[in-house]
Amino acid sequence: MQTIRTRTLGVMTALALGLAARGAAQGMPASDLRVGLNTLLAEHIYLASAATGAALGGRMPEFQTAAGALDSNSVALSRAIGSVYGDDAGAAFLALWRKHIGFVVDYTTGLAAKNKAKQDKAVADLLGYATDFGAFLNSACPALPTSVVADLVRGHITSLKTVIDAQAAGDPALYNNIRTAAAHMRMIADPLAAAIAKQFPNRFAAR
Amino acid sequence: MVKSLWIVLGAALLAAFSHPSDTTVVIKGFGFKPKTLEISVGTRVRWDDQDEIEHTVTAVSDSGVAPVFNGVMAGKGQSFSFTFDRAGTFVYTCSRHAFMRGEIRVTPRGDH
Repeated sequence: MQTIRTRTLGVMTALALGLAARGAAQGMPASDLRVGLNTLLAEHIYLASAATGAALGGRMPEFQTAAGALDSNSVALSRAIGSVYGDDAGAAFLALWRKHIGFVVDYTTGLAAKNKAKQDKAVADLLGYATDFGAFLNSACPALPTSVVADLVRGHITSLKTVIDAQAAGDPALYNNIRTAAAHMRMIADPLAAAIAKQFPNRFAAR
Repeated sequence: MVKSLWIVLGAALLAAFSHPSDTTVVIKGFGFKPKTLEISVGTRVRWDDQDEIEHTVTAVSDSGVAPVFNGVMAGKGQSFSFTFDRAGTFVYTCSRHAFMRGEIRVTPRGDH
């Protein structure tokens, strides 16, 4: 499901971050970091949408392939985080990130089954998760306030929910919704990249 | 000479019977640091939450058995302490974030 381009960019981002973290690529442009994180986070939306669309359409082999690609994207993101903040941070990030994907799956299956209680619980779990994720990033990078990150993650959750709802309803607005959700990820990627570059000025050149 | 002997004896007795020093585990970045800690019986361990989120320090126990310890920290700056009064290996987790795991290895006094 991942295109060769996005997969390559994801791997390149993780590698670039890893090299920078080890000091082997001192002065890596901060713009490369920003582009890399944007690519991985936008890819998260495209793959998540593919997975939820397949699940709602009952196309299980397609869902499993999309879910596998989505998890590869999660692993690439965790490696990027781990290369900057250490393996333990990468592992914690992966666990947290997978947790929110699990809640999205819960919401989608609740929607497919027309189970309102399950949908509501998944939404509540996702909104609660946003604070956890904010606290995680704040712990790694104190320049990112927990509440600000949490609000941005809530925006991500809301925009992805809009995609899933449109998929379930067969609403053609779906495709614009996907674009909006993917564009929103920039709101997370840009400040994260900027904060990392500022936190590690010796690794990321300000250009 | 006799006075010196008393001082040496007193110091030895103090070392033998005093409360082992406290030790701290930091909770940061959704992880316990250190993950594994080796202490002797009687040591008090303090967990300091440095994340801006609620964490717990909950001993893993068999189903239906109350955990040996279960501390809840509401967020950054909160702490929980527990004194280990018997030897053994105590695995613990955060009940809100099950992927967080830690281990305290308690050895009989004098072994550590």
